[in-house]
Amino acid sequence: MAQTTPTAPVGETPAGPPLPAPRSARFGGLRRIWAAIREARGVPRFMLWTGAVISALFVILALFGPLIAPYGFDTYQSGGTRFPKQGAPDGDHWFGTTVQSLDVLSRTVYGARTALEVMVLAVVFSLVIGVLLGLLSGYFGGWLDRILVLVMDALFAFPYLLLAIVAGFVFAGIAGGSIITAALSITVVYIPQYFRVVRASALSAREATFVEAARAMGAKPSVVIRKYLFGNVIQSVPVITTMNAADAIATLAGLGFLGLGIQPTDAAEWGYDLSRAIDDVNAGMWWTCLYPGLAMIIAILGFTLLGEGLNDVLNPTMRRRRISKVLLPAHTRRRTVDATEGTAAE
Amino acid sequence: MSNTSKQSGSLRRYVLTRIALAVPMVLILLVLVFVMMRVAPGDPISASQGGKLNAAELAARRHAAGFDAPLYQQFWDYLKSVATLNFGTTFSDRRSVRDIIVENGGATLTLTAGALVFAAVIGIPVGLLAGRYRDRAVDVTSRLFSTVSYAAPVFVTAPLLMLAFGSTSGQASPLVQLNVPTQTHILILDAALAGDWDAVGDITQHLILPSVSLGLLVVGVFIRMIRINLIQSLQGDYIEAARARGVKERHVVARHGFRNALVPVITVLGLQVAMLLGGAVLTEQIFNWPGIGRQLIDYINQRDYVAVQGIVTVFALVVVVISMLIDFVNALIDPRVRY
Repeated sequence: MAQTTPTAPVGETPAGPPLPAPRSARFGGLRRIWAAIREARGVPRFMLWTGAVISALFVILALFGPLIAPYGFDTYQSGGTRFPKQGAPDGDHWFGTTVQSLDVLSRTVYGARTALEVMVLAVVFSLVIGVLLGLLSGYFGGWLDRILVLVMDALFAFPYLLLAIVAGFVFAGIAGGSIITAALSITVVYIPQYFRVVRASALSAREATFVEAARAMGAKPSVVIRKYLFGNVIQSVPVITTMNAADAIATLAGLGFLGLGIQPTDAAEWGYDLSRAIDDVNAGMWWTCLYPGLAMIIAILGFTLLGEGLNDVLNPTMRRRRISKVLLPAHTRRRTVDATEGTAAE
Repeated sequence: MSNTSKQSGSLRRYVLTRIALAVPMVLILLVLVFVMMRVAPGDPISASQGGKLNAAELAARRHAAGFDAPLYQQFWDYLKSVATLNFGTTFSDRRSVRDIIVENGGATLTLTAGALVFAAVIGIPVGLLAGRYRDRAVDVTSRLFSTVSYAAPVFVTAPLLMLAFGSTSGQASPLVQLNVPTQTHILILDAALAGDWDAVGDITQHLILPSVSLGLLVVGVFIRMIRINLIQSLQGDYIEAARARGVKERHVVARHGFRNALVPVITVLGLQVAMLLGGAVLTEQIFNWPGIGRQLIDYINQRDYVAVQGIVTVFALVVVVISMLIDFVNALIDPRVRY
């Protein structure tokens, strides 16, 4: 077989002859995800779309924050008059003001901006590092694999918030608390998750016939990884990514709450605001903690719902056909019956 | 007869293998903690005493503490301090990390135990109901609840709970002065041992809000795990078999489904310990709870590297040991795990 295809992809030429896995299959995985999303019904569909809408709103709020927020995140006066200190919500300050005379609404809106920045950075960092390491580890195996697995397992076993705290402590010690260091502290927590999942799928994909065929035809490891493994492995990533995005918001706020996150003068951050609000709560002030808190819950909820919806839709063990309810439990192999009935109905 | 001895033998082998596997994990964890602490710039002495002492004195103190020693020497000392369960002495207040663990560990233990109790009491019944009535109103509600409770960080739920219940829970009032002998360093146990039931009541009252705040973090995971387990065990062939034999649906669910769905709860518990410890750091900070997590943050703010290194090491070891214990219990319950 290999002899009859002299133009096998030895080099970087993508215009090879029809291969066991044609070019269009590289993102076939993502297309399959989209098909599954469109097929989703019931609760998963509801979660998926609610999550998508909330996440989209969060992103819009973050992107257009300066246009939406009435004041800057560190503005404590307007037209020469200082804002009221700990002022209750009124017409001028819809969400009230803090002890530093800052407008809570503006800080909440700008907090979304900070959260989005850190979230995107953290997800991209961990995605790139985790997927790369996972692919290498799963494809090559050997001592590299063994060492990476040990280190990743150790990182994974660590209480994740504690890991972020220690990483935040270390990174902030090196470079001061900025958006980048906060994102890096969170990245450390997520790399093992991508690594594990990607390594596992790379391991199984490595044994697949089309990969074997590509190798037999002389494809270099870099080509095999890029063209054949990547597309198969990447399918498992969207669920983790959305879940991590949700988690990153909470972790960033946790760091900020403990004073290990972004410098409070650099950006508005929900966790820092909440740490300041604890004292207000003891004094009976509700607006400084309620609004940033609600904003955070809603943002996390959006990404969590999106991730869970995706998981329900994509995870075959959780998928359920709509018509399976009409089945009587008299059959011995219910699951097989489910599948056949499902296809018959479609 | 021979069968049982063979099985207990395999359990022993499983336990030994698991311990052997934990050793490299612990070593890697120690290396990680050590490296992370050395990557941080400066050293504990300059960090904590930098402004107060001159350069020569700093160097002398560094030398006395062994911070100018080569790294392998420092790592060896660190390993020794871990092996002797001493974990070093803090710089800022010259406490042994072991003392911190012993004196403040009780508070953290009380808090996490309270959180677990709350999570189990709410999570198990709700999870079973949700799994039993899948996709019905109770399921959708419980999923929403678990998602929201999972989405809400401790430092959001805690202040909201304080606002809602602050006046009635006795949270605002300080803890009464306790005059009970310290025996276990677990305040509530000490009070109970001394027969001071007023103190026990007071401590319990103060424990409720922190436990609920922390418990809400994990109750969602409980609900979801149990729900999924019940759904999957209800799809099992033995459930079909029971139904085919004409066993009433109520009995099928209660006797065959629930029981098998509850076995993984132990695993859930184990997995949540890491999350609880992380959450405890935040909860202790919010409620001024005198646990290890609060100490950790104090030492982090003082840049006391030795204390941070020691406490983080202990946390890591606790997680490894607990996950090991959970595996043992699982192996004991479920013979399939052993193979």
